[in-house]
Amino acid sequence: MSPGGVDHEKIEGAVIELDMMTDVFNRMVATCASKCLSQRYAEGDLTKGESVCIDRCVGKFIEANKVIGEKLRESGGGLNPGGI
Amino acid sequence: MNEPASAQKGGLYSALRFTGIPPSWLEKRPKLPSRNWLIFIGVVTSIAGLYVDDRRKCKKIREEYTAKVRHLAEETLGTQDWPRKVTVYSCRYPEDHDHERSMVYFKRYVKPMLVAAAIDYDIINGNQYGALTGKVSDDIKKRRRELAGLQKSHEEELNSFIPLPGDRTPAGKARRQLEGGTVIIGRHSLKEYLEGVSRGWSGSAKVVDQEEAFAETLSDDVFDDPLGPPPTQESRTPPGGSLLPPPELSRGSANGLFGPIRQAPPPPPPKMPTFHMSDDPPATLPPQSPIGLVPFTNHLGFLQVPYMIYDFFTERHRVLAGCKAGYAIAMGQTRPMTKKDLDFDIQSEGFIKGSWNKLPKRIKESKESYYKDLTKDVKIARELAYGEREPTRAERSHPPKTEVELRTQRLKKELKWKEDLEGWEVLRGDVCWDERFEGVLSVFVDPQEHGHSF
Repeated sequence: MSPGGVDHEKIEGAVIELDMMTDVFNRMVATCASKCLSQRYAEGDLTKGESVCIDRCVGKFIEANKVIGEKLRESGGGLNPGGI
Repeated sequence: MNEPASAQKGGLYSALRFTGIPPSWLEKRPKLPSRNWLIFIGVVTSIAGLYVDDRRKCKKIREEYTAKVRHLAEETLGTQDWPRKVTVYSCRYPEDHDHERSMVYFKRYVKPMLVAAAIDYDIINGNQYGALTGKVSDDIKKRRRELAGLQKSHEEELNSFIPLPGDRTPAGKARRQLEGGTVIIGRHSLKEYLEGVSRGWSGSAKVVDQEEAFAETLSDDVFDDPLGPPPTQESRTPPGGSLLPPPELSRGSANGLFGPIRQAPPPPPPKMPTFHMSDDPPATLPPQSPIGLVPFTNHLGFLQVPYMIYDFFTERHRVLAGCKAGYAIAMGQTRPMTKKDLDFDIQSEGFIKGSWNKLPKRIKESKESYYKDLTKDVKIARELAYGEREPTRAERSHPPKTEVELRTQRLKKELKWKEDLEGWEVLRGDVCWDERFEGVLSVFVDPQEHGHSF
């Protein structure tokens, strides 16, 4: 329904943004899991200590990502769109 | 000569005398250092020993107490549940320029226990005297409005867009807050907190713009203009010869053509529908979350330096107090709050600096000096606005404040002075006790000591 040319760029931009977000998410999961979760466990649910730790880890990660993104945007002129 | 000497010197001499070591070294006897050295070594070692011993005991105490609560962190948590969350209230200590010292005290001494017990925390810090009272009472009034159905809570509005997992109803949120608990750092925070609770549940719950209401009470004499409005129109003629009374006469007499000008008021709050249930304060309060009291004495000033030095070597006392408070909060055993609890940490009041009582005098003095400068600044601003004179070179590089800026600055300063005075009144008096508190407030107790009050 819409002209093909313009959409192509938008789609590519969206794909790049999605890739960035997935990358950030995977990194966050890997970092926080390695910091907060122990290797030995008795049941499937997370313990309270681990949950609280993960809450805080994710909060700090997102905050740090936001700050770094803003700094990069200021200095780099926003070459890479994306980031949470 | 050598024969009898070597016989005296014994094994070490005969073993090593041909190794090239100077013989005087083999004849040395152990000797104590000189008297002065002994004094120095003794003093330094004892001071270092005090420090090291104290810190070792602190570590042991912390390990002992965190081990007691670790079992709480090992319970499982469902994916839709929240962990227990406490709200920490701290505020600026009287006569302290650092408004975060209570918060730092909490983070050093109580937070390790909460972290070990997997309890989440939210810190609410009052940056000026009386700020915590305002925050607490505003939160309660907001809650009252939500209960009356006049204002939608943030969660409700979010939920109406995207339903999120977990129990996010206001009832669920209130229940979690009730079960979570409150932590109060120091007697000053307790005073402000109870005053805030009392104020929140008294009076009307309607939204009131404090700044507007206060601005009405200020007199505008200082900004009286005997000469009339500045020539904003094209014509630069003085506004009518009849309106030129000599400046030194009319200050404070006539209203001035300006009249009380205020800066543009902030956008009015959204119009509330008329109350269909009574706005009167309730006679009984709903159950409040239990309070964990953490004693905190802040030593300020040159005269209290001996206490600071003593505190440096007795950190274990504060670690023990903080760990006990954290343990009580983590275990969650409560008892009702009585009037005797209002004497919590009363010994800390003896350490407040003497200049605390002179705060109103200081505010008065700063007010007087400010108003003196203000009349001069208003005069300069008016002269430049009227075009009576050209700005000097200094004024061109640093343009002086215009009249509007002076008015806003004055409003801000007056507001700050008023809030400081109100906070001072709250903090100077006794802990507030409303009759409605009876049976509604409770305190965390140490399960091992069966509730000993501070």
